[in-house]
Amino acid sequence: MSVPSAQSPFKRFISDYSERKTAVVAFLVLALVVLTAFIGPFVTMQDPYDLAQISILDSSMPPGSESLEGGTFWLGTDDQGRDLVSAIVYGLRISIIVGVVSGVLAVILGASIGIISAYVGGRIDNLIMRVVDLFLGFPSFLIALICLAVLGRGADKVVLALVLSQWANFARIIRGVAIVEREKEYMDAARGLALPKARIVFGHLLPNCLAPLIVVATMNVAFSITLEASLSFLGVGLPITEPSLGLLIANGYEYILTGKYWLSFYPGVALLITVASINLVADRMRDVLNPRMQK
Amino acid sequence: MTLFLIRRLLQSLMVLLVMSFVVFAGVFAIGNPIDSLISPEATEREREEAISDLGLDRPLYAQYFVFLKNVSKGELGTSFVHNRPAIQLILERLPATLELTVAALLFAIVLGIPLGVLAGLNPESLVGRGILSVSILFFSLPTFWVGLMMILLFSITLGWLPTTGRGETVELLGIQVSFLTLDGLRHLAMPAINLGFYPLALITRLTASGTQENVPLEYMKFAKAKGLRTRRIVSVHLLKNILIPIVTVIGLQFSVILAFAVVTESIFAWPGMGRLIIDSINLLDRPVIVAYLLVTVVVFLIANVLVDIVYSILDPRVRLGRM
Repeated sequence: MSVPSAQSPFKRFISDYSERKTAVVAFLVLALVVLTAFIGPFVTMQDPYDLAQISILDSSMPPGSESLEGGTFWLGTDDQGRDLVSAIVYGLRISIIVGVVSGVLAVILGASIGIISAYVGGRIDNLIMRVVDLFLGFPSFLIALICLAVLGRGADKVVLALVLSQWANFARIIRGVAIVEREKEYMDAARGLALPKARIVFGHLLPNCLAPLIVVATMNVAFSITLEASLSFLGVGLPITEPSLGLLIANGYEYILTGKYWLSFYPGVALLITVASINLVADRMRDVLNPRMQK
Repeated sequence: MTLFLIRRLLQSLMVLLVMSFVVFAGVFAIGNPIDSLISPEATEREREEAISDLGLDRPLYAQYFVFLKNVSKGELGTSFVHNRPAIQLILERLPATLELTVAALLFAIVLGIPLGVLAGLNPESLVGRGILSVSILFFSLPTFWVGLMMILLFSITLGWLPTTGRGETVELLGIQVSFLTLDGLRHLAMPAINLGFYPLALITRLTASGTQENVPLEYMKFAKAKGLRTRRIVSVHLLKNILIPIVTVIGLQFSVILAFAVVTESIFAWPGMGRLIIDSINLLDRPVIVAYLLVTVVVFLIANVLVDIVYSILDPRVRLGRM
């Protein structure tokens, strides 16, 4: 920023963000991925999980093969004649939904606990932070694995496991910010107006503590998607009826030694593109939002 | 130092006690192991006998106290599936997992710190930006998928490296290790590199940002003004100042890698604790799950103490007795 101008903060954020071309590309790729996941199922050549639409005669075809009914399997088919492009699009949708839902829920849970902890203070704060420390002392992968060991398989359980494995991080961050914000004048004003406590905490304190969370929460979505894929790959995550990208890769694993590489390769590429674009966008956002990096 | 160690030991024991209860209560909630252990044709009487033999008919708190008493004697119960002491099963596989974890971490440190310094000293150059961009890519790589692709490339297509197992091992201080034989190293290479990608990216980025923040500082300018060579400035002056956060992250990463070893071990059929725990979860083999978790917690706690000791060596201002 050479000339200070009267831009709105949002516009300035956009123009700062756009200075790096890779970041702009990453954002466009991410938008495309999300669009594919949600519009894709309406335009794929088949519903890969509708048995009436797939033919066993098309099974295990390499990428680029022609279908018996005319279409082309650009990325090949699996052993049941399922078009891999369609399977990836459907899997992408499940992966993204699980990642975003668990990411958002983890932020809500973590932020609520963190902010209450900071506002109430004293012994309760101490106790809550001990619990947070206990959670943070363990790798989130291990926490999620244990949760799933206890809960069993299923989309709702995976989401719960991901939330439980990550909320503590957000609680810690929010509490740190809220302890500083708590002492500011607008909080005195809110207390002076004798507003209800809940309104002071969630209406006044919380919105002022959310900024540092934006980047972490974004990266967390990417991390959740990877975590879910890893757990599903190990067979403790999503059930076979909800085939995310991780399960597609796991299914292809059996065939990799026989040379049918595409079954694992392409779902992994889709996963990589999704996660990498989210991380690149978040990384640029951090640089732009970090006051120490501003010129 | 002694005071510090005693205090940390007591703290660790507290954490372990809390964890043991959480784990025990949590694992207890997992389905009924009898269903997967006894054939469906068993008579009601055989069923009852098996339940009382395994102590599953007693209330939860009674089972926990029996468990605690046994733990203090070093017994963590007998595996329902393998019919052997769970702790023995875990400890047999612990060296393989630790070897893999340490190898992965070494790979990340040896490569990550130089790359990070290089990127941090020239952040706007092509090399610097290249390193930082690639490190984000490495962050995003799903470990298990990269493992599969490595098998595809190095084992199936090129035929250079074996896909599974530990290879030839030799005994070192009573433990079987792979890294001392050529065959063992060939088996260790892929899993260790696979597991090391994530910490490599993390250490590289952390070193780079530490370097970037320290370069404009007075002491760096002074060192340069004294006419020291870059190599000496970096290795003596810079590294000493940026190593503290890096050591912290390495310490934290140790436990993350240990947990993620579960994934890598599954892919490369590395005979460590990871595969065992996944099988145990699927078969509801409670004693093994509990033993795995407790052994893992102990390893984490030891790693944390080691990190604290390394702090005090790196930074004389840190006095362990007062921590």
